[in-house]
Amino acid sequence: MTDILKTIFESVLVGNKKGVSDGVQQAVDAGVDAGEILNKGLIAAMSEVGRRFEEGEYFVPEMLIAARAMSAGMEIIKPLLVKAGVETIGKVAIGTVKGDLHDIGKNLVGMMMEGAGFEVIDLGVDVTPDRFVEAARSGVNIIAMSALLTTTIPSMEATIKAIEVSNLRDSVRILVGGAPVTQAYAEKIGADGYAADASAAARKALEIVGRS
Amino acid sequence: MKLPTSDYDKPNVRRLLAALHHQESDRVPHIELWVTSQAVYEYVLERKLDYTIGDAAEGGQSIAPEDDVEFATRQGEDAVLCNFNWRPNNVFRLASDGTRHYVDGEIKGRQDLGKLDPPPNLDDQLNYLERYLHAAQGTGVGVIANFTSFFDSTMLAIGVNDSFMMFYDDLPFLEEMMDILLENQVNTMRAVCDRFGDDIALVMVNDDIGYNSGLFIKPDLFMQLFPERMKRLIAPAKKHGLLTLMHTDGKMDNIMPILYDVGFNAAHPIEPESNDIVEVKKAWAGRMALIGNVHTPLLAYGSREEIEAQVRDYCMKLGPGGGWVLGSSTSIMDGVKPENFVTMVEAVHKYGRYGSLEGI
Ligand code: B1M
Repeated sequence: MTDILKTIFESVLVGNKKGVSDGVQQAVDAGVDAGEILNKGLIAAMSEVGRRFEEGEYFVPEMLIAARAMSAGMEIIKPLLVKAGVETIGKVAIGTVKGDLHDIGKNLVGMMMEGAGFEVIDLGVDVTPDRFVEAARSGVNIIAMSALLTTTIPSMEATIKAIEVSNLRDSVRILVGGAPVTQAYAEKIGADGYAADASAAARKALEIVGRS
Repeated sequence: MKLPTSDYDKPNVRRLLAALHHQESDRVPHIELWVTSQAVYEYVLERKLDYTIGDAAEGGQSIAPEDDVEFATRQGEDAVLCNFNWRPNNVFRLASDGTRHYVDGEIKGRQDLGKLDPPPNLDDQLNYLERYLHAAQGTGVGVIANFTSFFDSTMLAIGVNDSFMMFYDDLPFLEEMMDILLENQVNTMRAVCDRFGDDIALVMVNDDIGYNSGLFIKPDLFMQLFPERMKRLIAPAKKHGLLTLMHTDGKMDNIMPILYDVGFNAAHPIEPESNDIVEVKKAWAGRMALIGNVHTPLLAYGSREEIEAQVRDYCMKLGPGGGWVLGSSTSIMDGVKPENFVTMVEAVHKYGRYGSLEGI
């Protein structure tokens, strides 16, 4: 890894937003390929952040500031990636299900997915089945649902049913998670995947689109 | 529900205190820290309330003291909570199901301190406690003085997501906010203990410091922020010889030693998602009492038989030696079937019997 990519990588790890945007700008100015900045700088760093979180070395604040720093870098290279025709790995629409306003876990999952190279559309919280259906219709590859309340988990099943009824089930893969959700529940409602934490969710999403 | 006839079905705060002192009484006690379901209240009270209950999380009281005590008396619940909440500058929104919930905080930095909501009037709060104590007189129901604290209240005032980043962006401000909240709550705690220390059953602090993976923030940073402040908050209660209980969500293996060192006597709710309460009891028997942790999904979706079996199993495994109080994990919210709640209560009356209350 070149020094400048190393700087970007390390700045993401410590959540140094300015360090990342300065580093990315410097790399762009020096003619480093945007795809390389993305893969070897930003994505590699977020994958390390995920590892540290899973191993209990990083906590929620470290994840959030790292993701914020990564986003600052993404802002700079996004137009270049589009111009160069670099395709994202896939599009994910993520939201917390109807009746549920918990968003910290959902945000972390979205950030880790972005950090893994996905284009992430954040539908926010309290997302009705209809809005997920709309997102599925818009051509996303993955619908990602988060729920934190016992009383809102059933909305996941309702959303899957609504997607089925709309004849969109074959065009999207569905990923579910959140504190009360389990692998068994995911299977029961016919989701394509479950993940226990944000970095496992990003890995699962990669697996789903055949990029793991 | 049936009105209590036998002593086992009646509330008795001494039963609760015995368990918190790691002793057996006549049966395993039961308390609920938060009931936010109007349907459950009305089912147990067998009448409609002529007001809509507020959500205790919003800073108010959720039900009138007299109704709360009647609710406890009818189901033999051993204590009720009187809340001393200061949760300033929370922003609420209606969810699509029509319920109102917190979504953000308004204090985004030092520049916003000028618009900090004032704390509730102390005299009004003390009068409210007096109403609770008056209503509870002669019923056997104890009154727990429950205080919001400085850690999660700071995060909520700032906005939970923003506050997480503020641990890095502006730690001094975060600490300043914590101290503003702490100062007020210490004064309130002192006033409660000075005036009503002999009348209340115990003191509780509620402060969510963790989630399913453990602490929200790095342990070294947490230790810098939490223990000394928390010791200050509960000092008036300790000075008065009152037992202290802490509510926090989350995985307890790293949290329990911190609470113990700070001086707490009991912890709630030992969430089943991330803790095996039987193991936690074994590890802390005689040192920290536990309140919990019947899973709310069971109460929402389980059958009568499943609920009874769970309570029975807990009574067998957690009851011996005291140190355990039955309760839900964490709150009786909308979605919990009233019949299921009553099944849980009746099951502890049936399966939680020890011997007698003599000698406590
Ligand atoms: C798509 O694929 C995936 C894959 C993985 C996925 C995923 C999606 N989504 C998440 N993951 C996973 O990855 C993430 C990172 O690794 C993880 O996400 P988590 O969200 O689990 O973890 C986050 C990083 C940090 N964790 C959290 O943010 C949740 C922490 C706890 C303490 C919690 C918080 C902070 C809050 N709460 Co609430 N809250 C609790 C929580 C207790 C707990 N044990 O979790 C819980 C979830 N809350 C609960 C309740 C009852 C409530 N809350 C409420 C409100 C709140 C606050 C607003 C105060 C705040 C949320 C702030 C916010 N902006 O999100 C209310 C509901 C509001 C609503 N309609 O949504 C209210 C109803 C309380 C009330 N009476 O008002 C309980 C639910 C009980 C149940 N089983 O139903 C609860 C378990 C607390 C408890 N012990 O009672 C994984 O789950």
